[in-house]
Amino acid sequence: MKPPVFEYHAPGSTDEALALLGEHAWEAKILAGGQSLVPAMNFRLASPAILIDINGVDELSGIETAADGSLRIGAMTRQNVVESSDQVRAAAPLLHKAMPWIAHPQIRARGTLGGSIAHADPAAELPAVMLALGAEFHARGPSGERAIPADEFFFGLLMTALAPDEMLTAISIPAQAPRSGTAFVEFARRHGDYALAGVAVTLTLGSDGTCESAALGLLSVSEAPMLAVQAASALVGTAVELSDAEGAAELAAGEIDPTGDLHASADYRRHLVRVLVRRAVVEARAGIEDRG
Amino acid sequence: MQIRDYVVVHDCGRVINPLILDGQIHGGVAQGVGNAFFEHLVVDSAGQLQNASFMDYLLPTASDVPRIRIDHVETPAADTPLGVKGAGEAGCIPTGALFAQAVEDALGIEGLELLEIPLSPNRLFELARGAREEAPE
Repeated sequence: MKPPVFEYHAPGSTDEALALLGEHAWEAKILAGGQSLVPAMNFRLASPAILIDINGVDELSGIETAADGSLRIGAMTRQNVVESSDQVRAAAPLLHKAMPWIAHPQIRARGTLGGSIAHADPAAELPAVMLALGAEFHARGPSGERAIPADEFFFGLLMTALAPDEMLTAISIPAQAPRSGTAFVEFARRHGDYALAGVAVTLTLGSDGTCESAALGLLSVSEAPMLAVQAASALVGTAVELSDAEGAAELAAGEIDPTGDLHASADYRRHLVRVLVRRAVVEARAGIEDRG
Repeated sequence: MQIRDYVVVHDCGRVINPLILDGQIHGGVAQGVGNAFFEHLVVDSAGQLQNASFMDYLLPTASDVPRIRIDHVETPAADTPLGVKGAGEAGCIPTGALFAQAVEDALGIEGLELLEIPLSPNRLFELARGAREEAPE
């Protein structure tokens, strides 16, 4: 199928893109990698009057490692660049582990980090991973730049904290703390399909060997990508034994608000979350190097 | 789920072109994997097809089809000049039933008898839960 008629702009800089966005806001959509937007347009599920193609804005791509080890990744950085980046593997192992689960290599060659985050599909991997990483999103609009923490960014189905005249420009990810472990697990009908459920976990142990902090990002089990807050706080203070993982899994299954579709009922998604959270927490705990 | 091994012993009478024959069997098994696990037309009460795209009507991809080991038994057909029989469909005919039996065996749940395909994870979850609930303590 072909999309409805639209007007196409290809700005060469962020400023130019923002000016166009300021002019057309509600009518315009930003075209990043186009791996969700273009199919949606072809199916006529989306029909923006104006497309602002930012693929020619070079300043939006690239990965920088700051002095404190944290990463700043340009919103237009291709997913396969993130996937094969040594900087990402060193500073954010969770992100590195999750990348191969995103769709297929052809899609990751075109899809961008920022595009997936701004699209905010609850079934996508990157939003849930960003929540578990405690990432921060940099947005620019007419009134300048602001930083939005990941847990204040995702509101509902495909809804984010971005204003219509704002665009996502970069993503900051803190360096993984010492004595931390991570895991990403998901379950899909076939590899590369939208997951029926998925979990991204970060665990950090304190000097006494008990869990100091935990974050669990969940995908495909709610209207928006979400943090399992109760499950994470139940892990804090424990030694993260199997029974603790099971307890967290039970809590997570109670926190979600899944809907049923062609491939999985709400009931089955709840069951999957119970199983996947347990597995992910056990895997993250096992991955912590005990330097103590 | 992972398909650990898949062995076909096949009889199409006299084998004339082994390479083409193996290709027929590979294709048949791939279709059979689709029948066994994925392919399902979902129609709502108004007769509207609910999964009319290949995003929702699932077919097996290369990563879902196992390596296939093939052997042939040649029992020449008595009534054809070359002793040949058809070879196009045999690969996919037993596939659904044998995967149903393999999954039953792998799950090892007493009272679980799989009498339908496709064996989607969601349906297996329901059937397994049903069997467990009915199982005597």
